[in-house]
Amino acid sequence: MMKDVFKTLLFFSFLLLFAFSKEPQVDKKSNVSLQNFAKIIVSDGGRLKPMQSLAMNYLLAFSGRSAYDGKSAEFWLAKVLFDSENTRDEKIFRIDNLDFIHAIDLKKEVKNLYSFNQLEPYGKDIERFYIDASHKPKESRNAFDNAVLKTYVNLVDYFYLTSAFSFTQGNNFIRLEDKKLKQQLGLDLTRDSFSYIELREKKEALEKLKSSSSKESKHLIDAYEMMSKEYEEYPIHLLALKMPGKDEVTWVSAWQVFSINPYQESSLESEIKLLSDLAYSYKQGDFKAFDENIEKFNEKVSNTLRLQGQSGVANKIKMEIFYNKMNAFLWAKVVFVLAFLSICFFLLKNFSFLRWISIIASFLAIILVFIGLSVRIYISGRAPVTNLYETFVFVALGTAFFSTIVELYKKNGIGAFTAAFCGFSFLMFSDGFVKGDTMPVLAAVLRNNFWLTTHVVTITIGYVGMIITGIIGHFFIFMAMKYPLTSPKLNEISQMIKGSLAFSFIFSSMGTILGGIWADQSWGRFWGWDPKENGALLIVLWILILFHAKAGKIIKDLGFAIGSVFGMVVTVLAWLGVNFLSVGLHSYGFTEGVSKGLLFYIAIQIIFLYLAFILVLRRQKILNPSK
Amino acid sequence: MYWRENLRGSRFVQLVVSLKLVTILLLILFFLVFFGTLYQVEFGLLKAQERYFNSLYFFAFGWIPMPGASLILCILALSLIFFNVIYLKYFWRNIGLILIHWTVFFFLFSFFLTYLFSKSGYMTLSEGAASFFMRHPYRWDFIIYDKKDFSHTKKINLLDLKENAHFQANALDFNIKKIEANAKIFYIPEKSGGKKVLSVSGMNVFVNDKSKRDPQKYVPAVEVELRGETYMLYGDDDEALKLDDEISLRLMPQTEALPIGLRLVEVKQENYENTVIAKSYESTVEITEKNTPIKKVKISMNEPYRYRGYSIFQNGYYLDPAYQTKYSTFEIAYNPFYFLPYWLTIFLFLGASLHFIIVFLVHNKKRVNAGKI
Repeated sequence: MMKDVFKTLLFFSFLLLFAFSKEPQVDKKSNVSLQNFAKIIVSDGGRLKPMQSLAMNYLLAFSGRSAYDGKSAEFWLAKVLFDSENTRDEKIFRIDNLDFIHAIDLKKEVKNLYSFNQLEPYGKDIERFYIDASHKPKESRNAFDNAVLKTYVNLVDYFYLTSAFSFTQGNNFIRLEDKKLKQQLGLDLTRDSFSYIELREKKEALEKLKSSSSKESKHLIDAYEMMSKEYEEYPIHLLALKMPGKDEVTWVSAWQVFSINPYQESSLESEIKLLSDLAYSYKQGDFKAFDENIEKFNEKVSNTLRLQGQSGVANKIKMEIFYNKMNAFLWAKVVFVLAFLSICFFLLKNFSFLRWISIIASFLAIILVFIGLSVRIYISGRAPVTNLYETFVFVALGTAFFSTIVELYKKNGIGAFTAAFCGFSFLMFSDGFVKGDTMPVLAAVLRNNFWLTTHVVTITIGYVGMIITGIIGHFFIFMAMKYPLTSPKLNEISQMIKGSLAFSFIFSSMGTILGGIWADQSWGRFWGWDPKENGALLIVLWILILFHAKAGKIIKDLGFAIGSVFGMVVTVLAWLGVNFLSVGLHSYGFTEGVSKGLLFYIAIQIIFLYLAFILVLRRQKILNPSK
Repeated sequence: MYWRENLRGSRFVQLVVSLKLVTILLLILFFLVFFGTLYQVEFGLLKAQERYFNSLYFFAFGWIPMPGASLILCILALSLIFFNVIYLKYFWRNIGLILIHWTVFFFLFSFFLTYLFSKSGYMTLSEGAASFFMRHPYRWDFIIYDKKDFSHTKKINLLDLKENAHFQANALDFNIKKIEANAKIFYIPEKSGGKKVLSVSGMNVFVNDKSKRDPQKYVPAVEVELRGETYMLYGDDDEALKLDDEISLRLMPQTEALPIGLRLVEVKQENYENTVIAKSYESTVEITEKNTPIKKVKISMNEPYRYRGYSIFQNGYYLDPAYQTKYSTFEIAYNPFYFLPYWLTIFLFLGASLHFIIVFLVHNKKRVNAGKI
């Protein structure tokens, strides 16, 4: 057996080496890696993150993918920021709703991805639909409205991104044909169009021009002041500004710096110069200079943070880059598939070697998910179950971990099967919730609360227990079609269900009560019959019903197994179904696709239970005609 | 013990503690919780509480009597106490079970105590304002003001008001129709299907728009029929509905005087950087007793202030854009038994863990004896 384990470990070592020895991505055309660009610290969505994450979040929101054209997101974002004209034909806007596509008379693309240039002619229609949809209450919006809102917001975000560094580019507002005026300002006499930053460099001369009565001077001043004031909403907040009397730095965009006083020198002037230079070098294709300028810029920001005693920020940024690069959950899925295939072959052919492969693979995947979640906790500084995405990942980890323990104890393959199946499935489901930043900031009521953290973690472990119980229940039902109900094999599985259900009871009941304590701490009442509270109570009640019915001999092992499978339906309803109702204090965002999937699962599960019950009873009559 | 043996022979005791009865009760409770949750979508949390959870019985489809959750919980508590006293075996190996069963009983008992003795309400203050009145979350009064003779002013508890009532005040005869408006009502344009009525705010179109409901909030409304016209009086209306120069109507939340008062010194909302997402709300409040300032405290989200049995929670924040006035809403709860669930949680966790460990050890011992390990 040791030989088998050694072979397995060797196999996994090679797999890991392959996974982590990948070279950083390099754009072959430009021979630039954008590693320094990926490290730029930005403030977005209320938290600090690396430029790489910002790029991934935007691209995910636009296209549902974290890479474009085979290259990572930062390549795409750099192009959008510094060479936006050449990104207008890139098909990055995903529109799945056919009604919307037909409504604006757009030609359907194979992958439902459209470019800015394809959508721009329909801008007015999209805006009209957007106004209609945004006036509807959230609950009344249909798939069409949601598609319109998403597309409109994405287009606006894209436009904002393309404008973030527009201060370095020539524009239609700042046109100057008067040679005398150009001379007066010290501008290039051979050009008529200038960038905002070129004018800003002449701010003293510009200020003097304010008293001039010439039409062209007035026009120039108006354009300059208009851009300074009205563009302050443009992203990206990447400049660390020291504010007097504040311990922490304030993160601002270049346009925000300009808006403070367009005629005054700012403390961030050297950083802005670097930004301007790097934008220029990118446009010129001088990627060496681009990279060097970013390095200098990052160094300056780090110095500012160090002086303000915020060096910890840089560590978190490094960790987030590591997290993005590692892609732990993707690798975990791959390893879970291996574990699943191995255990399936074991259950069919009974080779013990395959069982060990499955256990070790699951163990490895668990470590990967654990590392991924731990890094997320470090970055976000909170419990790993604050949104639906995280609960799915946490449930994947929990089901795989506890099932592997069951497997090590019971050694019958059921635990290993449950670990691999649940680990993979829940990680797959979690992907459905990646629509942008998966570590968003929390609402005020959810922040800094010990009871909330303990409640959510405990209740989620309760869900884990119920799911494991349900999977074991499925095993019982399938085995009951082969063996008599009194057989030792079925008896053993029934004991497993009992143990697993007891485990679920501890965590579900504790989680429910801890939820009550949180509610008491936050709202002044222990129990309020809120839908989510009721959902948790339903799980506890269902477990109690099963235990009491079994003890009272109302149901036997088969009924207990069927009940445990139905417990999964109750769990899914409590976990996700509550969001259907759009009421209560806990309802987080719910997408139409998910609700359909949920209904489909419940229907399938109930039909399965009905058919299984009939089939098992018939089969048992054949297996045991005397009863 | 002899008396335990004796009581076990009682058919009543056998029935009450029977696992079949408990299973059926739990099943009924399961369905009550399920349907009570669904009911909230249509009728709001407070109506669901009233019908399914806080009631002893209710009528399904208007005529089928059904037990309410309170009745089921009472029978379960009875069953549990009988079981604990008469049947539960007090051996060391049952320590987990003993703790679980007694803790669950005391949980039910603590709910009962809370139901009887706790109270809660809201207080909304603008910066600089003070009050010692707490607004009831869902109890309202219907008031008929008589400007000419204030002693004729009538105050009727909305719960006591019939669905359709007839009133006479001075020379006016009018009918009142109570609206089940636990959900929020909005005025929407007539072209969208609103019912044409007259209202305090001057808008003449009304619809009970279900999509805009706020099930956590109870804001009632009444329709007033006078001289062939329909008027709408809404709980959120700032002004009274004037029927003529003397008679006016108003819906007001019931209030309760507190032994302590609050004065809002300042309220702050802090957003996450470069976003409009609220990071925290914090109010600076002066606590007063008999109009004498006692102390100044800070109350923020998740950090209530407890004083003389009252817990004061930061509940909401509102900025009136027209006047730039900041308002802070506090939830005020009085529950002398609030500590019970905290202690019971510890006992329940201890009991469940002990039981789980004991069962595991016994099971393992059996496996060892059977030669499986």
